[in-house]
Amino acid sequence: MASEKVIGIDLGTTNSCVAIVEDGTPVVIPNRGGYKTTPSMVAIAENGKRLVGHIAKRQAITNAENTVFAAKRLIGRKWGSAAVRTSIETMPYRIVEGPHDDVRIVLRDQVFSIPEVSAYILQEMKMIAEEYLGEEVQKAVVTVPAYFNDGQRQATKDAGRVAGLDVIRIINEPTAGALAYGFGRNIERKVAVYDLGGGTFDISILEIGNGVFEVISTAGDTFLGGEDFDRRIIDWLVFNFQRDHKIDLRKDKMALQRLKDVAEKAKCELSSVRETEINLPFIISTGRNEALHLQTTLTRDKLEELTADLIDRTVEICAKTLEEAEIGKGDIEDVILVGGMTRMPRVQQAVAEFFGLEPCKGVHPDEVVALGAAIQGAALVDEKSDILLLDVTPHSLGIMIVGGYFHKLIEQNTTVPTSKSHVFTTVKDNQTSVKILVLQGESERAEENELLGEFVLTGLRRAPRGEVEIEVTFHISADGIVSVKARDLETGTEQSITVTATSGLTEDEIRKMIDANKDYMVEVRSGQEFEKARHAAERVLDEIEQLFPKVSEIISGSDFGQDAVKKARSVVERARGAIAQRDLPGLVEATEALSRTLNMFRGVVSKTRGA
Amino acid sequence: MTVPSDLPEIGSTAQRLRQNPRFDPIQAGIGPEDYFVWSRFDGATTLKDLIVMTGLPTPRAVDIVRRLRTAGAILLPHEQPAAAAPRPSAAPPSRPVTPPRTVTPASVTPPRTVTPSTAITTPRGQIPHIPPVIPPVIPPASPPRGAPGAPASRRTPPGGVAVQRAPTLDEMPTARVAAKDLAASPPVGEARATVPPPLPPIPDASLSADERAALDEDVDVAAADRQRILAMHRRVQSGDVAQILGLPDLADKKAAKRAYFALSKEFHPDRYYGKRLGSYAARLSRIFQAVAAAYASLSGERTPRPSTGAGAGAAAGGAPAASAQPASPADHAADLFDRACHAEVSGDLEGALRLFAAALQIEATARYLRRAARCAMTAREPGLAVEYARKAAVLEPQDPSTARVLAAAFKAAGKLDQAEEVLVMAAMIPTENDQLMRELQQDLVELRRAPGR
Ligand SMILES: Nc1ncnc2c1ncn2[C@@H]1O[C@H](COP(=O)(O)OP(=O)(O)O)[C@@H](O)[C@H]1O
Ligand SMILES: [Mg+2]
Repeated sequence: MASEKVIGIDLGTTNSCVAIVEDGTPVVIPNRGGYKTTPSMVAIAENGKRLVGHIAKRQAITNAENTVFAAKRLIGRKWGSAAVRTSIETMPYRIVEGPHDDVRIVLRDQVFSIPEVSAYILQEMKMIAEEYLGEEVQKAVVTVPAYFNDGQRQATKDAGRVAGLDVIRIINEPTAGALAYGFGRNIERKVAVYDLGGGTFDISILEIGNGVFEVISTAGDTFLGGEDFDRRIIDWLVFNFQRDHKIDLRKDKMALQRLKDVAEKAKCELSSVRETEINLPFIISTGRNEALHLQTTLTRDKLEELTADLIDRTVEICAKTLEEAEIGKGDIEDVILVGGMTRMPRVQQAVAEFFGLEPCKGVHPDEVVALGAAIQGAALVDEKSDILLLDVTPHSLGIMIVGGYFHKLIEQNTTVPTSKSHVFTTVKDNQTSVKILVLQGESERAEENELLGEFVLTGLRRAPRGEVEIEVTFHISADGIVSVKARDLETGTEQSITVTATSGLTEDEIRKMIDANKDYMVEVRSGQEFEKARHAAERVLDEIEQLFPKVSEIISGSDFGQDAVKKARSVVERARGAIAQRDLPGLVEATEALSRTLNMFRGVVSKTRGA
Repeated sequence: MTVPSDLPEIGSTAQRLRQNPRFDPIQAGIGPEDYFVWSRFDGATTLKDLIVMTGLPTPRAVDIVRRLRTAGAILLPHEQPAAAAPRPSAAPPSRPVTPPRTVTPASVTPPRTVTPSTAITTPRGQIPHIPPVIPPVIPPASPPRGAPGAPASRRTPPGGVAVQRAPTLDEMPTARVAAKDLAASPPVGEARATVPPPLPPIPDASLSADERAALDEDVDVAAADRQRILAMHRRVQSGDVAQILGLPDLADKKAAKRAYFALSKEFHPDRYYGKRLGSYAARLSRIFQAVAAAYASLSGERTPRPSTGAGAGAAAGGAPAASAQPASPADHAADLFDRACHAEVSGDLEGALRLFAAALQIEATARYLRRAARCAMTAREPGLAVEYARKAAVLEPQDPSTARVLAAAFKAAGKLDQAEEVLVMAAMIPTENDQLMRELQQDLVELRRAPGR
């Protein structure tokens, strides 16, 4: 039985690319125009017709408000998020709030969800593959940036479903890039993947060992890419034209569209030649019924001068990423270039200078990600394949505990499949139910993380707080599906969910939820979190306050007794202060002093009574 | 408004028209709008789409298209440019429009010509394609490029047509090949550990009911694989890192990593992707997790060890051979403690601290902790002293001598406020031991006189 065909799709911010492994050979599939990549653009034309890819790109400026590009920046994002705010300000198309705190786009009075828009692109890629293969394709591996959270991954999968594709696996772009380059070779090393695309910059550090690819660290800028380079060229052209003819070309949409087309073309040409002609006849007409031409020469040196700061910024981000991951430049044994912009010689040079080694560049840095996705797809369905990609969880997973804190069970970058259990306890006397809120993220505050789902475990025994024990178990399968189970350790009663989609709640809503549910929370049994520290501190504080009158009565007769009372007060104040300041180390220290005080108080009381 | 399906003098709007490279727009003197529309003709877009794409009202766009056609600015797919003198650079070059699939019949030699692009111009004016696509990250271990085994398509075929082709899966060195390469290369000792340990099937007699049922289960797992999975599942249940990874020497990081990879390749659930696995799904998942956990416990990168554990290794180095070890852990700790005290009085503070740490690793009593804290103070390690004294104070919170040690440690660490607080608190507990009480109060007086107060 021949194994089923699986395509690999690089669903890029600017361009998308589809590849397949055929007879053991990974190949990129060109579209009918002969292009290997297809712009990730969707537009609705005046007559209501949907345009996808190159056609959409070629009319992007003349039909700006009805052309969606860079939808990837919005996928799986909440309405209130920073990325959405920035997009609203900078995008020519209308972005509105959706019913689930999600994002919608309005094109000619029609409202589209982001997965829908992405689905049109995926559908196009599917069609390209089907036309080429002459048969229907149902399965795909789709790539996403390494930093995408579960919500964004889920939304990408949803887009696949809308497009009629079964997305059998989502893999990280740098992993796919590295897979296409180094795959199957017997290497054990740390590599950096420098990905400069059309609208985004990503730098990832990977550990590669004979067929195992693991992302150790990743960072980037979602608003830095080739379009910024194009814009610099346009600015330069517009400025010169204005100087010579006193006409602002930006005011004319058709002129601007042509400027944009020519700027990108010139930029790409300058990657292989040292200078290029920019020739735009009849760019605009003057008021006096005569047409003006724009004709100039752009040199590579000029382009490099215009864009030097952009390249510098990518290098700065590289430096910061290495520093944060505590990896020395010398530890990086290979640098892999990904993304169309890395064809620019100056970019390659900057990367080489920074890392102190010649980067590995494919001839098609904007195609390797799709190739990697196709390789992984084939590896999954082909029994004889000898490749294995070990993927990791992109973000930590855990639950919310009392006080609105996030207790991690599975750390970021854990290799999947994996599972982890932890025992929690009740926070109230006679608490008969607990609510488990499943979260994803790195912040210690619950509301700053992504809420993945929730469920309730009921029927707990009535008992003093802290007595009933609930075991919470997380499991992530090899395909990244998260399931969570809570078990009452006394009765064995269980409750569980499989996380399928984000609820799309806002921070505010989560905060409200925290308040509304504070009596149904669980508490950690062990751990170093502030919450635990505060909880512990408060218990001790309670008891100290109770003993205070009695103790001061016993000891205040003597000098050192007065001293002790004063000291005890100051310890209590210090602890309160640390709680108010949310100062964890301070609180841990103060709690120790509190416990010592309490112990002394107890000693005083018991010994006096005994005497 | 919809675009008509036919236009006079042009025909079907489903056609993909292109620019006539011989057409000179400057000479023809067309306006900016006409030029804009003309600039959209790329040979790949249907006329219908192109008209929509201009963003102009359809009748106006249609008018312009017809004007351009009359002026000879655009060509129908089958038309050739008129044999006039070639125009210089300004106009973009035309491009072949034939769908790629049909260009190369299956019988023609290069296995797959993905794009019939010429080597000079690609659609977006990018750099010409240069084979091979994927450069080696390191010199390949298996057939070098250009060797007889290398596929022909990696070379540039005649005629300058570049063929894009990535290495095939079977060209890639497999794990097995890699293991062989390693075995062949020195150091030999390392290579041995890279081969997963043999997994003999579980003898029939010792099969559990569960395992027996699994062998007969109706799933898509080959008989031999079932045996191996069951055997490995048993092995991981031992919880023994060396046994799980099949490593004789746990200190060999490289070997550990290789073993981890090799076992992952064999037992990761993805190996059986899309198969009906029944009870084997859970087994594979457990095996992989155990292997990953065993490896993580060795690699240490992800799980930094607490600093107090640092003494253990050093102490083990100094400790006598296993045969000389006392019977119970408590005895062993007592033994280490004695030797630590001995080292301390003989002036070997460093050795003493190591031995204390080792003793405490096994058993942390308040007495050991107090003594270790004092030793740390003598060795001018106030941080360590505080750490030990704090632990002692947790174990014996109301004990005045513990309080004195803790206060002294705080004082040594420069935390005078905390030292004072500890002493003041300790002083309020009534005790029969007047001597201790006096010492406590003496400490307090001294502390208050200390510089910086
Ligand atoms: N030869 C080239 N020289 C310079 N830039 C190029 C070249 N080819 C493509 N690019 C640029 O690369 C960017 C697209 O990169 P790509 O990796 O496809 O994007 P993304 O991953 O963001 O979807 C565009 O800005 C494009 O202009
Ligand atoms: Mg990309």
